[in-house]
Amino acid sequence: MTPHPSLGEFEQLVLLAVLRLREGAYGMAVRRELQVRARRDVAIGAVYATLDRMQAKGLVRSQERAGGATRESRPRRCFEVTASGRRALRHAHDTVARLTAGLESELGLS
Amino acid sequence: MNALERFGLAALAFLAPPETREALIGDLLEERAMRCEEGVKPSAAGAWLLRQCAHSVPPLLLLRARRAGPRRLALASAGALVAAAAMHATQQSGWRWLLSLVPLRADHEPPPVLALVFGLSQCVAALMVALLLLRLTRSGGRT
Repeated sequence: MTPHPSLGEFEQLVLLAVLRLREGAYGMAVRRELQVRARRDVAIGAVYATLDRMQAKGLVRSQERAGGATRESRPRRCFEVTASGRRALRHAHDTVARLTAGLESELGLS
Repeated sequence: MNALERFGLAALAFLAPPETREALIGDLLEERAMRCEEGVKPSAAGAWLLRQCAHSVPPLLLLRARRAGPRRLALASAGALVAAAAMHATQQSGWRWLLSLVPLRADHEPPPVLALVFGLSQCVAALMVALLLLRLTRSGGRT
């Protein structure tokens, strides 16, 4: 049994995007970060559904902030990665690193 | 923003969980405005918004289903089944009534396009009833 919550591929991408955006990690910013850096054009609903699932697992937390006129005064829901989320990311990264060790030439990484 | 875009946003607002609803709609409005400022035509920005609405339906539906818990999900599924069956029965009797007015064979099947419309409307009716039941029977907490 693993002590860390397991992360799906999309969950890892969303967590990393939230981590990169720091203070400005709200739904649409996460969506744009995924589009630019991961080259994944995803629906905003998929981003929110994933963030909601990860919040239930304790990997992220959110708080509402006031929105501007372009949002018709609707609030922004800003997310941040929790310590548990960082541990889960580190665990996922270490797992990939262990499995790819020695395969650099086969994967064209060297 | 045209009526179709407003309808898309209203449909998403209906589907989204309460604590996400306002932020999600605000995000879409913000990016639509941003795209227009970047020089994208309003019609293209509107089409983008509608695509976002359409592609957001499956994940939001799954989210609602996941949160519902087995009892509410079973209730919603049963409601959807009844709604689809009722819609099917209504359409069949309507079709038979229509056949009685025109000189066609009594066992004449609806044309493919009409059958497709019938099927789609049954799906929509089932979906609407399931969502209504999910919204009306609130659970005590997150599942």
